[in-house]
Amino acid sequence: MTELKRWIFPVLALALSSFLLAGCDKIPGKPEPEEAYQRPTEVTDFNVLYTTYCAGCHSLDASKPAAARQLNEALYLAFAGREAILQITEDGVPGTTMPAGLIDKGGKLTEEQVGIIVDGIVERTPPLSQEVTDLPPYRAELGRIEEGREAFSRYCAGCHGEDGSGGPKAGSIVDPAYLELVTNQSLRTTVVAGRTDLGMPDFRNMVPGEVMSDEEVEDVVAWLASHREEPDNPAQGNEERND
Amino acid sequence: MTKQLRNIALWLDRRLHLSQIWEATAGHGIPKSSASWFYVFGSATMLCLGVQIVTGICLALIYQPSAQEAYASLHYLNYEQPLGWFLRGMHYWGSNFMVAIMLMHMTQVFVFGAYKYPRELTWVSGVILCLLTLGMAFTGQVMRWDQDAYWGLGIGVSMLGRVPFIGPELTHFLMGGPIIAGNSLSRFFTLHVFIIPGIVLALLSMHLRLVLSKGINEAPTAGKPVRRDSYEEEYEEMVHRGGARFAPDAIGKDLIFGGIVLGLIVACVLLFGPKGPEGIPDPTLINTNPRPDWPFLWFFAVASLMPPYMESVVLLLGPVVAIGIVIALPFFDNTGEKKWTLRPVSTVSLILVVVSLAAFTWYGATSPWSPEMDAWSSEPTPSHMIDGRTPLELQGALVFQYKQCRNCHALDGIGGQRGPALDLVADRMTPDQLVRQVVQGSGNMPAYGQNISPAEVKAVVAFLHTLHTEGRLPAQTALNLHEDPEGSPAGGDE
Amino acid sequence: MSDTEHPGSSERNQAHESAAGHEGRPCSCAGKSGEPDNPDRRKFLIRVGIGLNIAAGALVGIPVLGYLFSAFRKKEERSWISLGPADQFEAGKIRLASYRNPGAKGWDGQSADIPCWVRRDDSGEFQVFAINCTHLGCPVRWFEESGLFLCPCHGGAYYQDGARAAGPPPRGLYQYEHRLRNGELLVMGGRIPTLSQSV
Repeated sequence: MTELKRWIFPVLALALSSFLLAGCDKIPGKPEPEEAYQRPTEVTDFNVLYTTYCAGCHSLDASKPAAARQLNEALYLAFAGREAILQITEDGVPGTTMPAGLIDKGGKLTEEQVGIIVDGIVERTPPLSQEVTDLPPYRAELGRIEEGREAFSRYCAGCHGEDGSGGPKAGSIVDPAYLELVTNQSLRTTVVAGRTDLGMPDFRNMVPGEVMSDEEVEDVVAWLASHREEPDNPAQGNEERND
Repeated sequence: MTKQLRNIALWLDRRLHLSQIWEATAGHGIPKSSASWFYVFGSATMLCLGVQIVTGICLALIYQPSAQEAYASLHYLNYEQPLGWFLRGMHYWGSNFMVAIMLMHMTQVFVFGAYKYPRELTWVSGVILCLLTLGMAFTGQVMRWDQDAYWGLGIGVSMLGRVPFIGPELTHFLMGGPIIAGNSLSRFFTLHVFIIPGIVLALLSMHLRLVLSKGINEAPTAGKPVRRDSYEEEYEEMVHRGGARFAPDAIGKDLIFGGIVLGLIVACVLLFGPKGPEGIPDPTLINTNPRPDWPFLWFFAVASLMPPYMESVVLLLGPVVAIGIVIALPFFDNTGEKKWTLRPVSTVSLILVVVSLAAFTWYGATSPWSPEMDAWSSEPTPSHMIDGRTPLELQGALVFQYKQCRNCHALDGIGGQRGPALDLVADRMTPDQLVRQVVQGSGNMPAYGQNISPAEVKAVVAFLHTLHTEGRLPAQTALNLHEDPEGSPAGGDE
Repeated sequence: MSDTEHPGSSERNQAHESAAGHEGRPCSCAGKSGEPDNPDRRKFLIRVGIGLNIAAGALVGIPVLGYLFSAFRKKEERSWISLGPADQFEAGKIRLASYRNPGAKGWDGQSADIPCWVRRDDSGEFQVFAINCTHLGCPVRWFEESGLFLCPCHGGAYYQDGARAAGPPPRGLYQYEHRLRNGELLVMGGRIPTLSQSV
């Protein structure tokens, strides 16, 4: 027994240390060059960039509702296109809560980084399940207000109420404060691409079997925009809103 | 063969008197009660000092004490020099352990009343050694020439700049120039490598010499107070009759504890590695949250929790007064009982100091008063606060992020803690109060009036008004004729 | 301990003896410089020795102290520095600019690159703020969205004109003196600002 005692500890220690040395390909405390500090402008990892600069509003978890549009929807991507998304990311949308990304515009990102973010968004978005042939163009003029009211009551009133001031499933979209904070373009985008994360269908599925036509989309947006109260400084307001 | 070796050893000993020196130092007599596990902290602190000296010299072989090169040489140590990371880790963790064990040593000395007659100067030299060790920790943090080092110096400069009359001269002296730059690093390198270690070694010799000449303190027994006229005789008696010797009677415990400490240091290095260097010391990279190393976190916390009117006085006079009291301790508490149970004032003061230092350190580590500078763009609005909201409320959620409210106000526990969490803000504030709070601010909340449009206020208040306990109505002015006596509780006066 | 003292003291004795022996021998110098045992002479020599050392110590020490404490003497290190063409700063915006500190040494590296916030208001007027929070010197960040400067250390906040908005800062942001020359924006810079001395 005493014999055993004498050698068992060294052997155990040796076994343990060789096990540790062999079992760990990496010592946890050893610093790796990849973990070294990077200047904020040198970060090129899409996930890091997106998490740092976009996730606050556009969310990380695509399966849950986000405050601003989830950026992984195929229909939205097809509708807006890479160019528009790039331009919005670089310059922001003045008058709304979308800030500019580029350093020159007051943001924190280099042109390369904006490119990485936009490419990443495009790449991770799943393709459209089927080709959408009747997709309206991204940009368009406002349509006719009166026709817009009719189109609204056909496609939207079911949720937002007959006059748009809120219904069983959705709140008011004619609240002047709300309209003040969104552009006509973003109204148009919401009408066409919907907000699936919030339960709002896209332009093909507002009413089962009926697809909104280009004109109807333009008209609805025009009718919604007509609820804006004239701002004190109309010139400035219009400029912002036609963005 | 063994006989020859033995002869060589004996010859050397006769020439060098090694065994005599050993007998006269390590073999000194101690009271039997001192051969206990409570007496291992001093030697362990010294052991850490040894680790620091060896690893420090090794690091100095590579490290470049130049503002231009320091960061690159630290990278070299971390990633290219074989075992450079390990040495950096040893030096970092060695310093952590040294500070921690030194504080334990000091606490033990205080609890055992060891500072009393006739060991006043042992205590005083120990206090100065403690301050110098903290000085080593601070200057060492500057050696890690990164953003924290740069802005940490900036904090020091700002504090010194508050000194009346000679503030500018003092800051100029500290930095070695008008700004924090190359000369500042050279100064702190000189302090860290030459000046402070030199004084530490000199004072440590004095400290040890006093331990030998005035003896190690006995573990106190109640009812045996220290009297100036009789203590030394009593001590002599304790050591000579029924006493012990440090070596071989007590040294085993020191050796075991020292071995454990060394093992723990190595384990920490293997598990956690060296610290940093963090961000590049380029002042134009302002995306940084400067934090001091942990021994100074409590001070960082005190600096932020103080009301502004007393700030300069406390920052400048506080340390002087505190250090003065600690140094003067053996002179106004020179004799009497040593047993902690019979020294209620001392014991309570110690508990107060330890608890408040711990609390401030914890506060400093979590720093709830610091805004989360990236929360607005990186922390998603909790989805349950979005589900079923109206378009205006959704815009309000966006405004909440966009106006950086999230940097100071947490939702769902995420976001800044500077202001109150707003998860249930509608329970306590009516829409009118919310509007007033946003527009006018109060206390630690800036007034947003100039920087927010009426529509944005309306939206964000609409959003905040949805944040209330489920199944309970949000606060409404109409239902509440008497104004909330607390005024605006979201004022954020932390 | 007494054992160890023996060799030393005996050496001392030996030295004394040998010195005495030396004195015993006839020496050409002894007679000329007076009696070696003269206590007055010994005292005199000690006094001269101490005096000489004080003088020499001062000769060595004064330059060392002067060298060390020269850092207390401040020269005027500031000068006018260009932040670049004034029209790169858009009206109504606040942008981060930086300059190389005047008098930067070759070994200062990046630490002599000093950032500052340049504000150009809607009427085109400039304000240039130091980066340092007035509380404890941490770098303040500008948030265009909320129109605030925020400090990451203790949550100090300032409005866009540099005025204190909230938190612990005792005053508004430090402002550089500035002027326009040949279309360039110049600031008077060169030192770190503190409460006792602005930039």
